[in-house]
Amino acid sequence: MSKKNKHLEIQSVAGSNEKREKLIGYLMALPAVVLLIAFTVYPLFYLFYRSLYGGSIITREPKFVGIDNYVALVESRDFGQVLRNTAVYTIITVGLTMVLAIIIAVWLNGKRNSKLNNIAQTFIFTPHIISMVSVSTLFLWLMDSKNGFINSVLVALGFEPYTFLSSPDTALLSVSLVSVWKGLGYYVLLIMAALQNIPTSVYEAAEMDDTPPLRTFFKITLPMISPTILFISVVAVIASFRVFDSINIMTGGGPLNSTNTLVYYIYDFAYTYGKPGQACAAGIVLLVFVCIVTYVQFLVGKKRVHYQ
Amino acid sequence: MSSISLKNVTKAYGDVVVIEDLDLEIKSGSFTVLVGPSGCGKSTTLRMITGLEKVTKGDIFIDGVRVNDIAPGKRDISMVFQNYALYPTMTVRDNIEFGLINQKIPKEERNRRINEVCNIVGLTEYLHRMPANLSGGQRQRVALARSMVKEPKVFMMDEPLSNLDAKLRAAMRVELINMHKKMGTTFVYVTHDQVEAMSMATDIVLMDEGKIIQQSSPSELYHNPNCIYTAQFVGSPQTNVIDGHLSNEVKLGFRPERVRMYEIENGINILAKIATREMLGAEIIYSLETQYGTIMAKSDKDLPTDTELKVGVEYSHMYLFGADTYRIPFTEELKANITDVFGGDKS
Repeated sequence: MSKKNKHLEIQSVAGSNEKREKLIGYLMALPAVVLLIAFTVYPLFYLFYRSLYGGSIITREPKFVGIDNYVALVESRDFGQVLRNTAVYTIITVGLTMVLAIIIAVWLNGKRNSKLNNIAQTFIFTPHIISMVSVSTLFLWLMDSKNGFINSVLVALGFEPYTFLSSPDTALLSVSLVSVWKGLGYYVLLIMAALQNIPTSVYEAAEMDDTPPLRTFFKITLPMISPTILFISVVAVIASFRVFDSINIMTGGGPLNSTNTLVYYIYDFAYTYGKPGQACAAGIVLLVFVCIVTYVQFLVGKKRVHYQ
Repeated sequence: MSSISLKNVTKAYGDVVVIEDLDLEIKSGSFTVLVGPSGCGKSTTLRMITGLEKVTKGDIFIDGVRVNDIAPGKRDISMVFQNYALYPTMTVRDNIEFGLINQKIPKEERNRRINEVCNIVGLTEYLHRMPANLSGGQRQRVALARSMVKEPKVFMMDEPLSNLDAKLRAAMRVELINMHKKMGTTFVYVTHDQVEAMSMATDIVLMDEGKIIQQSSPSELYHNPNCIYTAQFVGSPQTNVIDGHLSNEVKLGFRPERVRMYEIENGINILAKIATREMLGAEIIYSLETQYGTIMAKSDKDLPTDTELKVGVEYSHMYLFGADTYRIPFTEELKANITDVFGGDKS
């Protein structure tokens, strides 16, 4: 009898120990969870909630308007252009960044340990640590269509000056190029890390198999860094959906709305036109787009990405 | 079938010379094993033959053709790597087929060869698996299949069995011997394991510090070592060497399995005491204390420790080494010297 009791006691002690350990675990996670709820989860729900109400920033008690804000978005002439701008900006930025980053990383990786490599790596990475605001201001000067440095050089060499930010046809491309220049180094670094994880013996096996260089690249290198490429494409797409600083400083969405992208549009609506409801609705649209695109990327990734 | 020859080959990494003036002939159709301790240059030698490593000086010929400037993939050689080096993002089938596509071999021929090879190594049911989902032994087979399917003139293997467990390794040894017999191709195999070398090779190249110490058949290597290094590299426990008792710094060597645990004629008899014994089953390894130092002996005679006895070594089982550790001939003069020092026949 007493033996049995003791057994039970031990079990209950063990049980309470387990409970205590669980409790400690939750306690440790608590600060992070609180912050996450306060600054991510709550704003997200509030965003949706607010998108269903009208009024301006200073309205005390905004009126419930249902999906009117969304209808207004769809009906507005600007919004379609904004979405198109965002898409074009994303395609140019992400496409160029990915292709250039892979080419540069492969090139640098081939020259590992050389002096040139160290210098090139530093030059390519440096833009990443400069703030976007400084970069934008700098390029605003460089790309000035009349007195900018780039056009001075072009004219001196006998070329026509380029319009850069002053024409609706070239402004979006110009802003994209600045983002590519700034972001490239970071992505090059990530891809180089992935490249260095490929065992040399695999390349030696390819050499023994008499593999042409391009085939080695497409059949061995690219598949082996595909997880990193997927990661980078997701991060880069989300980053370019959220582009704001450079637009705000370099073009203010112009000329003729040609560089007005989603986040700038949201900002404009909330603070220039004082219509937070419609801005929140646009925010929800952004969220939905990011979710859809990321989901599609992972779907494609499932087929194309080789995890080891 | 192809012969390989290296002439005055030197390999240096910067100022560090790993291999200097190496001459090596690998016979057509042989199963040549390069063996030696790690860092002896055996892998470097193999990699120079494949072309993965450039020679610093000297020439390499395959079938009489100088291949120094021919790319590895064009030398008609295939290689099995120590860690297999499979393409992790391709299925087993794609791994095997990859080199064939590079060689622009037509599809029908590719299919025929893949089927044939996979039957031989037993991979047919795994063709659509990824390498990550295979066991070590199966990956080994894929690596073998990948090099067999190219039907090369020469097969190179760089410690291909070292990542397998002991049982599988023994089985693979037999399979490799069979493969060599069936294909009749030249095999060049690198290992640090003397058992692998002795059991598979038709020709052993024993290396140390970038030099070839001895090149011969396994039995020649065992029965006729040309120096102390060779004598002690092959066989376990290693060959006894008694130093410091004969004139002109001559050293006396004999294998533990040649030590008789009784007095003999036509040899020497040494007074010994059994210090330890290791029961191996059929045989027992004894360590014997003698006035000439510890001698190892291997015998099927079962004796307890602390037994004092006279052990015999026949003249015909003795190896004599000179001051430079290389073999010297067994002359009447030296025989007299040995008899004089160690005591002669039982009388």
